[in-house]
Amino acid sequence: MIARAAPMVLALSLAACTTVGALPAEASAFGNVVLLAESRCGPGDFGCDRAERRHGRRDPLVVLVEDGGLRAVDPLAGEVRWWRPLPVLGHPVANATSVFVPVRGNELAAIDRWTGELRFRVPLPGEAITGLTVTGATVVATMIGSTRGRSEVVALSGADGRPLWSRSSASALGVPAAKGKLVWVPQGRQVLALHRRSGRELARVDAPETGPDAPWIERVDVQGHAILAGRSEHWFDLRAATSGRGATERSIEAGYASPFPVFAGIDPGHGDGERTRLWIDFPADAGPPREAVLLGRRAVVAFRLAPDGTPARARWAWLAEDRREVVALDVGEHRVTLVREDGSLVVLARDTGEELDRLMGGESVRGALVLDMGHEPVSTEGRPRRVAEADVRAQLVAVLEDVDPRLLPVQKLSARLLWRDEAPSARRTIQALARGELRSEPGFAAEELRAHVLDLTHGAWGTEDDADASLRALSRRASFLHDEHPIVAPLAREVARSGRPEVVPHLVEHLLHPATRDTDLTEIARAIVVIDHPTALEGVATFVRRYHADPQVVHASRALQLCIDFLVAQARPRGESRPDATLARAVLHEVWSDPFTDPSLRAYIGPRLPTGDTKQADERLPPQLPEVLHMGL
Amino acid sequence: MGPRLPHVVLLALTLTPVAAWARGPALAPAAEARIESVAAQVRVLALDPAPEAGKRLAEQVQRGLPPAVLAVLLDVLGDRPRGDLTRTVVGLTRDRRPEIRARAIVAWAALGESFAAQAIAAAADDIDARIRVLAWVLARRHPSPSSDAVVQALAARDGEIAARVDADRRLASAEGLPSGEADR
Repeated sequence: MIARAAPMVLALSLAACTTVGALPAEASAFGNVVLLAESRCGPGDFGCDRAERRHGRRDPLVVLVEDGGLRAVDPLAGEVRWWRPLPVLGHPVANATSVFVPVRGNELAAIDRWTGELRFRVPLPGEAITGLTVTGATVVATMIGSTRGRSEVVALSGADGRPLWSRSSASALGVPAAKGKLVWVPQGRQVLALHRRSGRELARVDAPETGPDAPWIERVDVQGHAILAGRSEHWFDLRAATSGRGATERSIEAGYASPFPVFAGIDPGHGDGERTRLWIDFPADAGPPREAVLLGRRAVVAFRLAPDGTPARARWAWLAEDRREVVALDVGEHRVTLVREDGSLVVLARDTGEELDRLMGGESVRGALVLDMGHEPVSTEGRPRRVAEADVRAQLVAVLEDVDPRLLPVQKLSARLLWRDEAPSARRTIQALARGELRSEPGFAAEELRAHVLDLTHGAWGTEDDADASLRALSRRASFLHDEHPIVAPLAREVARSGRPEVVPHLVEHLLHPATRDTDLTEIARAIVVIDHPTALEGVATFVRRYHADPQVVHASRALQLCIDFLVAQARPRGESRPDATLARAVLHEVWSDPFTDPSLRAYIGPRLPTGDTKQADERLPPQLPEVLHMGL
Repeated sequence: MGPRLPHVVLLALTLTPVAAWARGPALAPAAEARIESVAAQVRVLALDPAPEAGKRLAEQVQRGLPPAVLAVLLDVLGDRPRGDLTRTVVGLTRDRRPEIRARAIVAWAALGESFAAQAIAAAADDIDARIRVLAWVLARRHPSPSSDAVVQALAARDGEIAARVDADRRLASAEGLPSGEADR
């Protein structure tokens, strides 16, 4: 099957291409590939003109980095296209015609993308390569210089490897990127914009944070329309910085994986660290990213990001059925491609995580470069456009329950996403994890995960959207003299979604406040049930005891029944014996056995009495009038 | 209760026959008799000055009683206040039923002048107009600068109270007494 280029993407890529013979293909290292256009250009056909490229086609390819060389697999045909023995050291990059790869001896090799023939192998200046990029027919490398303390950026012809230009720097250089006629090179806390053909400096961009303690910029990445300079979890958009709008530093929550990994000067090649990595969908408007995918060894989780860079909502999760790890992740427009350590490929639908294709492997691989995959739309015929929320939760729970310690980062993310899920079942899973009822096996990973989850459970549950405003509104009480007449029901619904424990005292106060409307009362009680926090127990017990014998209150709303539900939940055994459970059980039994309890409420309590009390209750049915005993007379 | 107290206000709220409102809509005769029985026991306990009786009553109120029984208890405590049930009485001023709140506020005010000021302030802030009238009634029964201030603040917001205060003032003026004295 041959994928066609999306017209808009093609047009943009052509606009970025300025010279005849300069192919608009770009492929960054580390598997995140954006090869925007391609061609009928054949082997050695470096003179493909623009018109031909305009009608070009995509050519998906997966280049597997093995211990002894490179193996190229056609993922559509499921065939090995070529094998090239090479002592690969760094990360390969590619344009439309060639794959460029640093090899032992501080050399650069170029391999024909179609045939696997070696086009050239040339020495690089300097001591060791920091990073490599390619734009059109220009390959640019940053190097640790031969002279102590100096670094170099060199440009070579992609056609024959001859040097085009070079620049020396007294500062360490980071991993470069190129797009169109520009080459972007991190230099300390700045990014240099160099002309691709001459190396002339066209611009110099300061990082937004320029103080003496500001971190150095590690790398520039071109992702879609975004050109990003970053280090670890922080980045800024270079287009915004050079457009006069000013650069805004953005970041995501640290702790799971870094979108801008730090190499400390030398490209170490495909390593163990790449098996846990974060892909972010950087928006074209330089705003905060909204989507991310975390690869964590044997699992992948796709999720939405909140504007503050924290994980907001899971979209899907995938967990390998065996112990083999994923060594490369590529997220295309419609597909996610995973390369596993045995060389097998798994292709997932980007919107649902559904497995679309799988190719068997064989040889052990260290990493991979995925080219031009995932741009073809996935047929929607016969498949859902999104995964049911319950299924996503089940996928996340499956990730959490896996005892493989290598999954810890992705399990921390899964726990965070479940904690932000508004479904009570998701929260109960996390609470069970915090109590040690899940993952109770010994070991560092289980303990670390539990510590992480304990931290989560001390904070707010849910999305936290507008929760502060709701909390402030909820702190108001009905008062005639102060003209306060709060309508609590919508607030209760809002704070129930936030799940913040600090709302519980306010909910309890409204529950017990005489001015609370009957309609509000139901929603307050429902929120207490949803939040399910033990600090509500005393107030709920007071409410149930106070009104269980008042038919007017019993029948005016569902509040008493919901409060019974809350007590039943609190009375449930959860491992160790708890005073809360004892109190809840006592109140339930006491109210059930009180002859003044409204009959409908007693009927509601009966089937819900904790198991131990049910037998006792059955033996005493129907309750007789024990007024004298009841009154202690 | 002073001889010139406007009983009609208190009667409307606190002396409504128990059978009319406090039992709920569908009590069987046996259940009604049960409530009468317990109410009688509560009355005995409330009149018993022994600390043990007060303790039992407090415990029982905490465990919950039908509103009709609470009404009986609070009526007794309104006439025969007892300090060992202060917390119980104050707790009942936050009952959802205005009839119970009204009785509890009267019983609270009966505990002494300082409690009366608090009871008047609570009544004045109540969302039920009838209980706010009770604030005006109790302020007349337990006059103090603080209760006067509460009633003035209440009158500024509540037309009915303002009318009553105005009527008081006009009556006092006609009789040559300070405002609020004419009706005492």
